[in-house]
Amino acid sequence: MTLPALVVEDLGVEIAGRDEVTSVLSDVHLSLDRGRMHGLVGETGSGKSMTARSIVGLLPAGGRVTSGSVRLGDRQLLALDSKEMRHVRGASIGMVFQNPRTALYPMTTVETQMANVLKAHMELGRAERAARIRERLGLVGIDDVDRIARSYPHELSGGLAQRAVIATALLCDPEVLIADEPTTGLDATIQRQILELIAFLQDRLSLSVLVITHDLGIIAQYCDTVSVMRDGRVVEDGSMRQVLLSPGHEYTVRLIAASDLRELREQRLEGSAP
Amino acid sequence: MSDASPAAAPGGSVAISVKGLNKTFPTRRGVPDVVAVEDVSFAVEYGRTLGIVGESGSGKSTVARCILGLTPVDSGTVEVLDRPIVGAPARSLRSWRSEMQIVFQEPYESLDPRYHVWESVAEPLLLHTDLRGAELSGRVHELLEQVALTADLAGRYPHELSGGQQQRVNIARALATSPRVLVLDEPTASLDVSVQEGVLQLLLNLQQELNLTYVLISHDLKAIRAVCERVAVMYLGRVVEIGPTDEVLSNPEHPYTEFLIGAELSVNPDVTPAASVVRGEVGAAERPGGCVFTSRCPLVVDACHEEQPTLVDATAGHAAACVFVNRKRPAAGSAATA
Repeated sequence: MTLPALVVEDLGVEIAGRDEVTSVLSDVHLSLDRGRMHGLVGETGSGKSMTARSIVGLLPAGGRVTSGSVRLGDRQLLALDSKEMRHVRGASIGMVFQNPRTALYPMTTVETQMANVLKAHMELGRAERAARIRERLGLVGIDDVDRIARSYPHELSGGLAQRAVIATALLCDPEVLIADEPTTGLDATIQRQILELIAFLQDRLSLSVLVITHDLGIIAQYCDTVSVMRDGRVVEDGSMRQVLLSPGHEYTVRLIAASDLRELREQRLEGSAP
Repeated sequence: MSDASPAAAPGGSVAISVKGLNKTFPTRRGVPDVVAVEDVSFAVEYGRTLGIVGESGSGKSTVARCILGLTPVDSGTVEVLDRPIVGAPARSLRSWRSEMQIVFQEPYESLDPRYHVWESVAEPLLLHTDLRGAELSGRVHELLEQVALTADLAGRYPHELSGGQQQRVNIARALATSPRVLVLDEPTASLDVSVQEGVLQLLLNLQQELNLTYVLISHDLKAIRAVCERVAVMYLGRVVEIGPTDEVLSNPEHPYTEFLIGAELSVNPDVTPAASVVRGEVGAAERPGGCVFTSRCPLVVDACHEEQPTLVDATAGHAAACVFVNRKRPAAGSAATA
């Protein structure tokens, strides 16, 4: 078996507040196979975003890893210093966050910010940079590449902005893409477009994708494997079909039932029968 | 649209009637006005729920505000509980408002951070009723009980409550003056799924108990299915399809409704979504001529560019605004998007 792209083991994180230290993650583990999509699902406060931030070394102020390991291939990420970690974030792990408009810097054009990423992580000439930027914008399904490259973030619709963010995340050919709620806040039809795009890129570039979401529908339709998180712990994990079709943990059962609101609908249909 | 509108709810007496509603918002000079709502008509029977579903810019929240007279309209009529909302003087609107209330999407922003729960719920009672002292207290506690909030939360401030609890306080406030009509504008959009279920369940229970009439604005078909008997689908300010929820969502007549349903992701891995994904996205500023959906529709024929189709009955009480209602569509695949 080949080495998984990303392995998190026994991860513990605490955050120091003014008066007390709170444990936010304990014993978190996950494994992302190469070329696959793994879903990290949970509700508010479950620790799913904190897990993502721990992986890329972007814990909030006061945050501290207390135990565990994060391995990207055979590299131990928790042992890296901040400069090395910055390079990992630029070149080895691409990141896509929830709100595409805030992920883009408002004061420069899409092309300028993409060029800055390339300058920091790859040795390319000006023409090569311009060509690579256009190639990546085309790859994420943008037709009018030159116009979008010259645009400022506020000139883009939510869907186009998220495509530009994804193109930026993929500039340096990362092995792993971490997408934290990549479609929350986008309209239903646009959400579907972005998810189809991520699935296409995963296949086309043999990307390993870690998607963080509160939406079990995204897990069911796009992920190969899944971890269900609650209160800073993984309560259940496994293949997507196993977890969703025969959930072992009571919380997963409840989450699935609440997600499609079927009971309420049946209740309404019974109630409205004349 | 005429009185014999296909959008009218069948049978029953009507609590909310909207006819030919138009609303545009001016933009800066030289740029065409934004058409937020165009020729919207529907009716909601007493004790029933109409869902309005659509994406951003579809005009659904503007319709919600127009129903309650919170936004002036350009033309058209709105009657709620037999009272003409359009053109009503502000004083009348204020006195009627105790009977028609609204719950907004953001539960925290809707509450005054300086008021604890008891004060928040008492505020509408102080404004609209003569209840004071022990009677006031009694009513506040009755309302908290109705929304299933325990009495020990009465002294908490909004930031000390969970999102679900905050929204329950907003619902208690809306119910305080014993309204008969509630407009619910994305009431659960910012809540976790397990909390959402509880709040929708509460709304269903309250409706039965108090015989409330609801308009539920939502982008979430699952919530619409769970709560609404009828649904109106809006796109770029127009109602493109309307009818009984289960009928519209299982036999959609408008291609946009089909795409909305197709974009839904089931939690059952064996229920795969539609393979086709609608292309493009439309801002309200780039309104196409003819049918509003032409720029994204896979079925477009010449007639679509000529004029906006009106709602036509496909079956009794189920209407759609598409030239292909009751007509054969072009051969499948010939125009479908990948």
